[in-house]
Amino acid sequence: MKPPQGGLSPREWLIQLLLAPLTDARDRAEFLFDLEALRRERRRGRTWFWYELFRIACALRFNRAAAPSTAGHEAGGGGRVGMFFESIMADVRLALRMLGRAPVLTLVALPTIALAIGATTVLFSFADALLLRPLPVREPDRLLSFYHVSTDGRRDFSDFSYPDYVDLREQSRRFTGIAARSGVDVRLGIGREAESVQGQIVSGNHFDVLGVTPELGRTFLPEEDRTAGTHAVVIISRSLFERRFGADPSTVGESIALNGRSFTVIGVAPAAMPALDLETRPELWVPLMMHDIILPGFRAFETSLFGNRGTHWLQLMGRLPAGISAEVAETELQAIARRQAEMYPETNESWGILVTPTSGARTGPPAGRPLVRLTVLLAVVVAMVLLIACANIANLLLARASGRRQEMGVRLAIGASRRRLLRQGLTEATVLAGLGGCAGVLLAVWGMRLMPALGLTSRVPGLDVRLDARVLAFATGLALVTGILFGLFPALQASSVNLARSGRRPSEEGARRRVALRQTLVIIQLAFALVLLIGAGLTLRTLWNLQRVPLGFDPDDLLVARVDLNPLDEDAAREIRIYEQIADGVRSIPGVRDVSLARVSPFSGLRMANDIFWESDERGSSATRERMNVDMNVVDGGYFRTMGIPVLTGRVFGAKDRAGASNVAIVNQALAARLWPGEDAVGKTIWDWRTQGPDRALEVVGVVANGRYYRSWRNADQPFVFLPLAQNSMRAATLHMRASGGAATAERVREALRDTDPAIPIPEVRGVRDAMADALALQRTNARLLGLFGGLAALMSVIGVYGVVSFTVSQRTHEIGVRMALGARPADIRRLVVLGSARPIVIGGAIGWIAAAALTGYLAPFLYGVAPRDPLTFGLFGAVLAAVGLAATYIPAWRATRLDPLLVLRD
Amino acid sequence: MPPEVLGGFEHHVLLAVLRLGKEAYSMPIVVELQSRTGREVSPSKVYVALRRLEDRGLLRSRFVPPPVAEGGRERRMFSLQPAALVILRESKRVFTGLWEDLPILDES
Repeated sequence: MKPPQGGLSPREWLIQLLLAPLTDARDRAEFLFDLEALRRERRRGRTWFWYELFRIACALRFNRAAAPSTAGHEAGGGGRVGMFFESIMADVRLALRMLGRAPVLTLVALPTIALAIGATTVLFSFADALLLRPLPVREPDRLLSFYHVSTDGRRDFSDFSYPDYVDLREQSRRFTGIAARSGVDVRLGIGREAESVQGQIVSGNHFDVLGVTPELGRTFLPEEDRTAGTHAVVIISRSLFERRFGADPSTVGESIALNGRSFTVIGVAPAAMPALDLETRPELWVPLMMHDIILPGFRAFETSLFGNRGTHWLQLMGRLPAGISAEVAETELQAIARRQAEMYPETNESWGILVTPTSGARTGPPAGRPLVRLTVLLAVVVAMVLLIACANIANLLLARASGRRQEMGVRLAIGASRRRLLRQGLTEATVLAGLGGCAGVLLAVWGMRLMPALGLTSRVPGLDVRLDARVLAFATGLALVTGILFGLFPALQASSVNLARSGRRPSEEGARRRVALRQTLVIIQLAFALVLLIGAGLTLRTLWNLQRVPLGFDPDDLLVARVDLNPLDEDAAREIRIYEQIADGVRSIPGVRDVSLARVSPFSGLRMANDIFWESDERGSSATRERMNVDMNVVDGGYFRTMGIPVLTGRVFGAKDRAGASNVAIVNQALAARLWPGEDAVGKTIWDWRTQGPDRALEVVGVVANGRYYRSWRNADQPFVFLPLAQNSMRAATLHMRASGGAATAERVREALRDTDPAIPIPEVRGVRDAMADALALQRTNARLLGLFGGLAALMSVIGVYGVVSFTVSQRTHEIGVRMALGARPADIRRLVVLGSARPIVIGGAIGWIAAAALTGYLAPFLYGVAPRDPLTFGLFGAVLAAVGLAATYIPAWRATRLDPLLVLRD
Repeated sequence: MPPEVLGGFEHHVLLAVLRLGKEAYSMPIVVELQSRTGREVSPSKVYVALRRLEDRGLLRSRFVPPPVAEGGRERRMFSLQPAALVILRESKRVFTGLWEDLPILDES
């Protein structure tokens, strides 16, 4: 089986799959042509078309070579397998007729199953790609990812420094190879067009350790990763090969410009090249030894990047030979880490090493992993929806089973065995589930196209979510299991008909047992539905709270565009001149009211942080220096005005804050309050940590209001430091524009940039509001999915309540007739029915509350401004479900009052 | 080959192939069976029966290019093998023998 691909629609793909036993394409074409012609001639619908397709598919697979039939005209094949198969087919045909005869049941049940199976299938495909499917590499189970883990009890995870990597590679005896990599942004120039692409700078053995062979060309040679700056070679991804080189094989051997230098393409990675980090999908790979061109930002302190053990910037993985376990390998690595800690205590003292299988490590270090948490959460949710759906359909089938007692009785009487009846019942359920499953798979195909829109996959471009044979097998198994799950009880009940009684009125005791069974199902449904509704309510309130949180700046009409200058140009003065030129060009665009520059824009996903120092008691003689890690941004003087951030005391950056003048900083209120409570921060001094040279003293010249400037929404009171652009060179800056006109203005900004310097990659110009929507995508997806499933579950359980009450009322017709004949008023009857049905609602609600209280703790990391056991949400949704449930009982109750006592009693 | 190994439906299919001669493609066979038996015939069933009969050496088939004037696809044409003719001849002999001297059964 192959996944739907190569432009084949799911329908065509299914047809090809069904007709696969016809090996000659001409036969397939002829059969399809004939079938379609006959369908038109006989004026049959699609159902007939598909029925015939399934029929030939089954017959060709099981029946063709069988012995000839002696069973008369209708039976198609002979032999034991053939006979069994024909009898199953007969059951299936009967089941289809039965479903056709109960259109309401079919119309309710099929969409329910399709939705439940569709949702579960989509989620499985996601979980499969994320957690289950092995990496498409040679022997993926022998590949291990390494982490530095802090031994001081905090269990912080970190990457590795270059000297650490060299030690591990040279001292380890267990691994066949250890490879290092680090993500880089590279400017790719082909002809005159420049583009910023994501790549990886890797050790020469990267592809060999990973176990991937290039589709074209070769991998790196040992000498290409031995001497710095001598071998400018690159391997490109299959997608880049197609996108920029038209998949022309002669690309291998050609030169492309990376950061303005010429590199030779030596290979093309296969399309199935796995992304080792889910957030990125690298498009090219360059040897570590080309770092001074690929990582120019580090050139100034090259010695620290390759010589400094404190700079953790490489991710490591190793390949084990057969017969060596991960535990043995980890023990060896830990021994090396201990030796390093003894030799280099200042950098390595508190770091140990931990290994995990690379397939599982793609979701990040073994702690945290919100994506895994979300996947597990959604898996629980869809499982609940699936169970509710099963309970619902079981309920419907139970109701029908009691309607078919007479039929079953007759069939038993004329010689059918109970096993045969049970099989027939189960076949009906399985056919229902199978049809629902097919529709569910089609829904899933559609749902997967929807996933990027839901924001589920856009955060993780490295994830291959697809509908393949594994997923289809899962869906098929699921359909079978659900069929048995919801078909078993009704089938058992139908086949346990008492022959002597079946012709008569059903016994009181039997009816009560059936009601009890159905009530239990309804209780389960209500409980699950309430759990889902409460979860949905909590996430909806979170979304509501997050969208109304005060940001500390004005996000409306705020456009940002990240501008990358040539990373190899090191003239800081010219850099600032170009930025000013760009800002001037943009300022003259109509609709643009204000322009300023800053390094990082709000909710861009980028974050800048550094250690600062301050003296805790400046007046005392023994001032102690303290240290804190704070968020930072480098901005120009107009930034606070453009952003709408209020300046509380002091001033903003001005013309005199030039390079060479005394260094200054602006802090936010939170930092001022933390460092100098009750004092004026203006005039105080902080120091910032420098990679090289002594720490730099910064005079605080202003204090601004707190705000949430980065991705996180929870950090309004985070200490924050702003540094002036003119004193802090930067290679990439973001234009901040207060502008009206939306997309048209954005396009003009792009034109202005193209006019300034064609060599600058044209950036994306986007609204901060859009960036905020992106940052909330996970929350929104969460709320939407939980809301959708919660609503679905509530609807299904209300249908369940309605079904049970209707059934109870129909069983009690006689009793109600007697009551009315004795003078009960309609209101009394209504109260009798409604209150009598309240029990399952109350019990279901109570169980739902308890379960929700136990489970919502798991949601806590996704919540904001609302407690996991928020009484308002619990109360509100409990009340809503109870009200809707009682409303559902009202219809049968009202119908009961319309009974004519005379007619009922005569019956 | 004894005639009893042939199922009723397969018997019908062989006769349809015989009747159609050079026109014995799957679609005309379906139509022929339908018009002669007076009931709807499932194309997939005919298709499978044809393949089974071919497997058993009673039919032979080959792809025939479409007539130049009509254009279109290649179609698989079926023709009877000698073994099939033996079976059909034998069954006809048995049936006519059994019907001999019997009063005609009317529809009523």
